[in-house]
Amino acid sequence: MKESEPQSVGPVPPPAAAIVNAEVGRIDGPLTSILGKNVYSPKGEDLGRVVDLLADPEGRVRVAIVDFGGFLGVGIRRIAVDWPLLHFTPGDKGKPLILTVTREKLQSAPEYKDSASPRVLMPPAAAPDAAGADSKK
Amino acid sequence: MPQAPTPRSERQSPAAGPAPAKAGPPPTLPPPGKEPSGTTPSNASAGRGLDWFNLFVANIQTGFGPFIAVYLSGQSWTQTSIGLALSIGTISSMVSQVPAGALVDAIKNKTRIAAFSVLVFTASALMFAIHPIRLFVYLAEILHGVSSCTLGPAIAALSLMLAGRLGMALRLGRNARYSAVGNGLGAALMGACGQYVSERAVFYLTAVLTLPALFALLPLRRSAGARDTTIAKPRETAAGARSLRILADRRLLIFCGCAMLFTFGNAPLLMLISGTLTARGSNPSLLIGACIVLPQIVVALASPAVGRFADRFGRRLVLIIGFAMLPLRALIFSTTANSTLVIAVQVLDGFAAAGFGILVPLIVSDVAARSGRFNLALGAVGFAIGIGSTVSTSAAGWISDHFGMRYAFYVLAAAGLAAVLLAAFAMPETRPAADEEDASR
Repeated sequence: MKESEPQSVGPVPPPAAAIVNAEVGRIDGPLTSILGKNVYSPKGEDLGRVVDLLADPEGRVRVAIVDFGGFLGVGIRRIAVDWPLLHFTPGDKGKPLILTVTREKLQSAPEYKDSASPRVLMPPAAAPDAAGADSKK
Repeated sequence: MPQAPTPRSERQSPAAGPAPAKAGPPPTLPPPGKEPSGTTPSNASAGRGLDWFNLFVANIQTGFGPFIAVYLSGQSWTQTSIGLALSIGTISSMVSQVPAGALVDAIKNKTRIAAFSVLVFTASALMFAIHPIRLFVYLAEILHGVSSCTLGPAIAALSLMLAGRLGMALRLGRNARYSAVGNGLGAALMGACGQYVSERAVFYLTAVLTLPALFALLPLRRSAGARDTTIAKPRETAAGARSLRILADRRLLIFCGCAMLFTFGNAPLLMLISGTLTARGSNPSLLIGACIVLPQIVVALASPAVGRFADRFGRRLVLIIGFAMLPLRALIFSTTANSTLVIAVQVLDGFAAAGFGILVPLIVSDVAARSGRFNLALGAVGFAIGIGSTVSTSAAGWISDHFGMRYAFYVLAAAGLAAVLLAAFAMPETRPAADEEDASR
């Protein structure tokens, strides 16, 4: 809830060619592990599980891939959701990830196939411009 | 066209039914083929043991299905690693099909092979449950893949020993019934376990279920050992070249083709339709569960009848009817994803599964039981099935992505139709000849 605008994983990375003299430090504030974690709707419905993240060339995480539904692994739908739709409450051990869409919206979204130009479920304001510009053509 | 002009050296052999008797051991045991199903007390209890063994093995195998991908996702595995793990499993089972069959032929004590394979399942289930790091998961996939390949033939060989070649159809009907009950219960039990307890618990449950499977083997240990010799005998007398010739048997090759085509069409069908089911409705998971469990109920109910039917009217007819369900299902799925209709259509899958599940070991037993290379031949069919299912899952996915799901269904229907045609026009009848049956009655 604190961070609802597109965000980055860490600061802007240095140029790829240069090797940085990395040091060990600490990052303040609570962090949330994401891969493999279940996501819930604001109403508390189980919406599936984050299985992958997609980043843009600037290193910003743009898309979360969510596995929805299925029975014993059969019939899972893999859906790409826009990163700002996810909200984080690291303190909540049971439900640290909230996905702010309805279950119906998520389950009927198109399946994620192609990481080069995925069709992404995104908030109405973001869909036509900015966030969706490079992923929807 | 009941008799095909294929060379069948074993058919001329007088050792057909009544008088094998070259072996020294106990003359008290009836020769295989004499008794269609067990009547002596030890045979009856061994039969019940095999029933339960089939049930628990099917139970166990449910845990090793597509659920592994779900479990590993939950362990923060990346999709790439999961794909690699599953491929390792597929490849190791493909590679070991035929060698495992040969191995089961070579080892006399089939009960011991079955027990050992199940113990390997215990180990791999525990590896998944306790410590799912890469090394263990890959190892568990390899172990499971290989031991599945020894277990299938071992069960078939035990069935053949208990029932004999002529009682095989009925025995396999029973096997299929108990496997289906095990599959259905396993899916329900493990689905509930994954949902309400934890995903890890599914693998603990799998490991625990190997214990009753081992226990079920106990009565077989007593009766199967002695009988074994009558089956394995021809192998010892036959030269190596002759025993390998079974792999060139025309009936076996055609059947491999049928099996491959059928699996190609069948394997991705539920996967495709269930993806569509997930996209709608309030409880798609329950629907998919029903789509998995319902065919098993049909198999459980219909299998014994299918076995009898195969004895009375021949293998080919069962094969054709069973295969015909596949194009029917695929075409119906291509026109509708109405959930009620999809579930109804899954009943057809039950009939196909009953027919196919019984006929694979049955036809192989018809063709190869007396060559001493029964399990090698079974491994060859398993290999064909493995190719069919591996290729088709990616092929169907690709077609569905590029041309639409409808076309994927058309292609699967075409594969099913090709299997029907191959069975109808090329596959010879393999049922043991009437005089053999008369002789043994």
